Amino acid sequence: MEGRWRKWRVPLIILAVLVIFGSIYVTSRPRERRTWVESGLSELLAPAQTALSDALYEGRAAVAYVARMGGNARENAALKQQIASLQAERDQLLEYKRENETLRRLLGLEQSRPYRLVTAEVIARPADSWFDFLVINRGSSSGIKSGQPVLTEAGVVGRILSTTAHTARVLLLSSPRSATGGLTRSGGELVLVEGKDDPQGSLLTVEPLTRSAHLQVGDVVVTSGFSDIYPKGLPVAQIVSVAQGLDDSSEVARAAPFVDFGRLEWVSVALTSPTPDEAAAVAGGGDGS
Amino acid sequence: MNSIWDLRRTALELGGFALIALLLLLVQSALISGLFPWGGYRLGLSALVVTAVAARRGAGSAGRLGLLIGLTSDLFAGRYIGLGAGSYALLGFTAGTVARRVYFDSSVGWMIVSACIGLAQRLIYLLGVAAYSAPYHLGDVIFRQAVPEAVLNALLAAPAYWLVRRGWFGRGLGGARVGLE
Repeated sequence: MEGRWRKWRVPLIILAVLVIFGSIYVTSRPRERRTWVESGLSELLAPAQTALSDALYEGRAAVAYVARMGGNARENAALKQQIASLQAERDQLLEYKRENETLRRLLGLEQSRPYRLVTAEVIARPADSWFDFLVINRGSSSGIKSGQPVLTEAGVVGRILSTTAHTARVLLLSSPRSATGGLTRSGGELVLVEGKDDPQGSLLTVEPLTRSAHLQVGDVVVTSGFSDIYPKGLPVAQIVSVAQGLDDSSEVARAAPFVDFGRLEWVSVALTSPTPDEAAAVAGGGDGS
Repeated sequence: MNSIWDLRRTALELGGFALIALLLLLVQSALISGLFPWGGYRLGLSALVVTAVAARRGAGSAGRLGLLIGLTSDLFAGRYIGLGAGSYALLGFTAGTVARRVYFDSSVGWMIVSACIGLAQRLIYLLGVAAYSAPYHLGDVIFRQAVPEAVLNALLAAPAYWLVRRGWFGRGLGGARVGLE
């Protein structure tokens, strides 16, 4: 028995190595569709991951509450002040919005596409791809589809890469596979924001799309809205350093993302197409409102 | 007769290892990732568990456990499927072979061995990723990620050493030392 296996040992090892290299090659590109084994594993682990994440979140909240107890009154006063100032700002923005809509109508410009946000909890992060992906506890049953943008109040997180019924995988901006079109807020320069060059995910690379572009330290990069993925004007990162590119005629900048990719707990997915319920309501003759 | 018993024992071992791999993936992805985002460095339990099993049960078992841990991790990540499996299996096997020759009699020895194993696994994984697609610089991969993570993970080695001494991670708990039976 032993001898028979020994004879096949070397061919089996060679076969295993070939299978491994082939598998790595095939799965080295982002895929929208996942195999049933991968989906099954995600679905199997999702409830336990959600429970663990919830427990962790509650524990942190409790610790933070205890730590902050003394400063509640001070914080309350500061927040009241902040609410008053935000209220005034909101009134002003509403006025600008009304004015903007009127002007766009007068100029015959298309209105920006509306989207609905779905909040989701980050339930897992692959151990070997910390700054590439994360997994959220909402999936196709909540209307989430691949390609939809993922945001927080701070800015852009990334986009949906693939979904199962109850989970979705988010490709982070910090991933070396991510590239997003952007605009500098002050100069309006078209740039490409990429996650390459920094395995720690703390800085993004900003490359201008035109040679004459001039990038400045402190400039804020926002989404350009030229792709089908991200709506226009969402904050992405702030430029922290500028250097000459490889060909000396262009610049390359490093930018600190507004989102802390290491500490994400909750995110919002912008649903850019109707959810299954909404679609069913429309198909069934409902008003869809 | 013996071979049937061996087969049964291996199947049982693989079943147990599959459960360990799933549990480890759950804890690592949902709990550790949320608890320890220190400067972006991740605390990895996998290398430590593989090292511990290598120490208690030898190269073959550690290689099989490494394969399962790496495979579940790869399937969950959905990318480079086989890279984690291959690297953990290789390192489990190496750790088991090293364990036969090194007398693990202090937590310092454990720290050094588990740090080296963790470092080697991360290096193989990241270099594999870089070779296939991601445009990382070699210096960044080594000095900004693999080495700090190995140092961080080595801190776990002392409590793990205590657990191994108490008899966890393998047969004959508290019995003969790793690979020296």
